[in-house]
Amino acid sequence: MGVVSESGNDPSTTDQGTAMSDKRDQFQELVLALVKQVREWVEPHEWVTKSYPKKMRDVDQKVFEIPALFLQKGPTRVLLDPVAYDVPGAEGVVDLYLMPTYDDMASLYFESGEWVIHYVFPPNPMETHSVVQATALALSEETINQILDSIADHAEPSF
Amino acid sequence: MPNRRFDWHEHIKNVEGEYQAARIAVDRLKAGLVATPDLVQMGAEVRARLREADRNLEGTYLVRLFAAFEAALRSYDRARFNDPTLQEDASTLIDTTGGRRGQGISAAVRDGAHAVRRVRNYWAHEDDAEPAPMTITNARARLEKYLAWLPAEWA
Repeated sequence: MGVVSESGNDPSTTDQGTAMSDKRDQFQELVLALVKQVREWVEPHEWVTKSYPKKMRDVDQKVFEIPALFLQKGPTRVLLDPVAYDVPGAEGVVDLYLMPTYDDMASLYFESGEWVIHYVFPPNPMETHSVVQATALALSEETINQILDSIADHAEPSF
Repeated sequence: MPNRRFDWHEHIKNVEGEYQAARIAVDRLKAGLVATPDLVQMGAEVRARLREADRNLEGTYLVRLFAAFEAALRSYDRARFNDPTLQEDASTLIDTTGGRRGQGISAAVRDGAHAVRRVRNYWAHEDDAEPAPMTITNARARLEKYLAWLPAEWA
């Protein structure tokens, strides 16, 4: 158990709280930069984007705002949605959903200083193997557009 | 109550996420107990409850999922009629809620929400008629699609 200070606060708890708020601030900065970067990468490829302030709660139940990003190309609508920052093995998770049903399409993890996107490419009908595996790719202009176009070409809302 | 549709969408998605986390936890505990029967010190009754918790897990979360959806519709309904005391039942809310710019919500989308409501009724013991099986994922998709017809914000 940590030492209780004169103010009545447990310093170890306060330190943990500060560390978590630092992580929250870092997550906000990461997502702000991610949204800006994704817009720059996808808009030249005919994706229309709109940022939206999402309200999240941190570990202290304080509400903070972070941007989510709607993307649309033709009839396909996708949401880039910040999910969590207190995650084992990653400093942040952002999901990609097919709208309006919020079906899971891909997940982005911030690991070792870069965003990695996990996505299950639809099986090629010309190939015979049946094992479907998520592919992890470093996020780049090429990979995000490749995945978004795959979603636009293949994904169907589950309802 | 939030008055932004987006917040309700997120709330419903979060409930599904909690279900997925709980499902993994229960599955791991079951597997652990098969491999190591004394993994957790607990009596026969608690073991029996674990079996029930496993069997009812999806239904339990489906009740929460629908409760979030119903709260969203109620929030919108109260704002629409400027009456914070309005308390319509879920079936009426699904049928009477209008879409954006006054257009009606499509029958297929309404039917989708009613199907989830019937499953909720079964799990909440409001109705003994056993509905067709429905996964959390499918229920979430139906409810999110319905909510997408509402305005982005209401007063």
